[in-house]
Amino acid sequence: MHELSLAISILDIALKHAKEAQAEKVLEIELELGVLSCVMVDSLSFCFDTVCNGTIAEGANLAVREKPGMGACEECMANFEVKEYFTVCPKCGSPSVAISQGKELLVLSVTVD
Amino acid sequence: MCDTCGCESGAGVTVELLDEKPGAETQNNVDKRVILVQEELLGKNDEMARVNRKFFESKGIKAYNLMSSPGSGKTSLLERTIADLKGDLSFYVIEGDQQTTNDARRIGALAVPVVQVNTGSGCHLDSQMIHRALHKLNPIENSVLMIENVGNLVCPAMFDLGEKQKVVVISVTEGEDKPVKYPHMFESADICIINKIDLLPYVDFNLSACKEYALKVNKNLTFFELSVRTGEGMSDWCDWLKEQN
Repeated sequence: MHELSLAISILDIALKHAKEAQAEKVLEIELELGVLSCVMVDSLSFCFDTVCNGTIAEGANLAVREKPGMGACEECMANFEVKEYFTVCPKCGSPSVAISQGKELLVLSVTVD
Repeated sequence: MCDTCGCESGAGVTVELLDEKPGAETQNNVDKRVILVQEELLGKNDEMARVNRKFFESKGIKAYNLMSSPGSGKTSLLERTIADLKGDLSFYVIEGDQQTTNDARRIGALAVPVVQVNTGSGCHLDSQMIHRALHKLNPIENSVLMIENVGNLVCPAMFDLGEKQKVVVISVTEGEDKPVKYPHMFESADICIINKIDLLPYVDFNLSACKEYALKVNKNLTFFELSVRTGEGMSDWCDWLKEQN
C-alpha cells in the first residue's frame, strides 16, 4: 500500500521539474528501484497511472530500471549479489553480510514535451 | 517548535550528482526534452525526518517508533510502560491508526499528552504527520515520545520519522517466522520486543527459532521478552528505557 505514497512522490517530483522547464506534458519518468527496496512494481505502476489522471503527466510512461542487490561479507570481505535480506556469504558462510546496494528509490529523469 | 528546529528553512529535497548536472536538459529532438533529476523518492520524507530528529536532539527528547502487525499489543505495552514509569519519565504519545481515536483515549486515560493521527486509507505514518503532531504536543525537554505506528509489518519500515530507535513488537500468538517473512521491518528495527510470553505454554511458538530468524535478518537487534498482561519481563524493558534518559 505504500506504493500509493511513492506514486504521489514520483508525480510531485515530475511536476516540479516539468514546471521549471515550462513543459506542457510529462511523457516519461525513469525510475531506479533496488530489488531490496520493498516496492512492488506492478502496484506502483497501477497507483502511478491513477494519481497522474487529470494532470499534465496523464498517460506518462513509468520506466523502471531495477538495480540488483549487492552484499559485502564482513568476515572475508567478498562482494556478491544478494536476492534476500537473510543471506549468508557464498564464499565463507558467514551470516555477517552488509547490504551495499539494492535499496535505491530514485527518479533518474523526466522526459517532457 | 519551529523557532528552534528551523523546519521552514531546511525543507527541501536531496539531489545527488551523477555525471551530469541535475536539472540539465538534453535535447533529443525539437520538442522532447529529458531532464536529469537524480532525486530520492523518499527525499521529502527523509528531509522532514531530519528536521524532527534535529528537534528531538536539541531538546534531549528520546523518540521511539513502535511498529508491529495489528494485535501484537503495542497499545497495551504503552499503557503498562507509562503506568510503570510515570514517576520517572515524562511521556508524550502519538497514536497512528487508519480510523478511530480509541487508542488515544486509552493513553489519555493515563493523563499523558497524546495526539491521534488518523491516516484514512494510509498504511503508515510519515515524518510530516509526526511534525504536525509535534506542533500540537509541544513535548518538554528530556521527555520520551512514543510513536505508535499503524499496525502493519510492511509499509512503516520504509518511512523514517526522525525517531531515535525503531521498536518492532511481535507476540507469541503469531508465527515465529515473521522476521523472515517480513524482513524489511526487522532489518530496519533496533529493538525487538517479544510480547505475550505468558501464553508460551499454550501455543506452538518457538521462541529461540524466532530470535534466530530475526538475527539472520538483523544481527544488531536487542531483544526484550515480556508479558504486558502479567508484567513478566517488563522491568528489563523499563530499566532500559530509564537508562536511555
